[in-house]
Amino acid sequence: MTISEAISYIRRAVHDSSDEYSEAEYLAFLNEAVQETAVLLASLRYAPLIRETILTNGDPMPPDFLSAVGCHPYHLSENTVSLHGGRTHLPLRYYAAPPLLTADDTLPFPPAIEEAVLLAATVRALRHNEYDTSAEEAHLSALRTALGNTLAGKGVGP
Amino acid sequence: MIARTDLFARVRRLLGDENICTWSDYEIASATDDALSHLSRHLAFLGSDLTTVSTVLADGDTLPDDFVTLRAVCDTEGRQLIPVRVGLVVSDGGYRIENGTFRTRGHALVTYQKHLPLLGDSDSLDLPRSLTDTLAKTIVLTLSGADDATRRKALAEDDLLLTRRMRTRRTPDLPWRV
Repeated sequence: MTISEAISYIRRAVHDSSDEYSEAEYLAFLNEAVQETAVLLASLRYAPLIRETILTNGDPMPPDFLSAVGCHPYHLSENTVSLHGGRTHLPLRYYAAPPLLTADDTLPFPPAIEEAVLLAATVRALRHNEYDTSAEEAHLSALRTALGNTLAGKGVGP
Repeated sequence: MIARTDLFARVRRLLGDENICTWSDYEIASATDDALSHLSRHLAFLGSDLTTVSTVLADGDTLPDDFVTLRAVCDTEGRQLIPVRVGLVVSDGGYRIENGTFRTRGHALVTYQKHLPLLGDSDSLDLPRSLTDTLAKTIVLTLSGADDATRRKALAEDDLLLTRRMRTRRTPDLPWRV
């Protein structure tokens, strides 16, 4: 889904017929929703977010670093990597946050996950105007639970 | 010979982590060495021939690095030696282990259960491939945080197999029995 399609979707969902929000504001809502969803997906061990890099002693962590896949022999101090055991380099698999979106991008997730992103952006837009978002938030929570069960391979129901 | 890649693939399959989403290779390698230590103690307890070795030690020698437990000690002519308690003089026909040092008169043939080789950074383990399943199961239990008792219990069903396959007799190949 392109960003303009996503913005149209959110605009319809919040009934914004008078262009209350600018394109930039919708893009900001979308970016917040994408980053929030990425953190959720990383906690659910969503493989497509995994990147690989080579860590070097003394370097900062990659800017898109969310969490490492398992434990590795290093520790962080003020975002500087210290490798253990006299290593100078270390291959690292980690969960990476998607880059911030611009107006020309597309959403970085498959359609099944896009819905959670769009709903999260919609909730942010509604909350911005102090609407009651309890129904949308309940829907989003159920959607995230279903997403978690799907990614964990659990069935829903008895 | 067990290849590192084969073993890690088996462990990841048991963990349901084929995509390498949860466990790093570093964690599995660490757990492998921990599992090998546990398996070494278990095989020593079973008296497995797989980990039984003999070496000649002189009075004052330190025990080998891979020493786990003693099976038997005999002199160079094949006569079995008896352990002597700390504080008593080690005379002919006796031996003692004191602070990791072997004490006897002259030399003795020491049969002991050794530690299995550790994986470290190597690409393979010098072990029979038939042990892959048992080792993989122990690694998974180690990664799951199981304690020694749980791992022993989980290995119980393999004991008969390990015993039949690896232990042909209870006493070691002492020269006087050959």
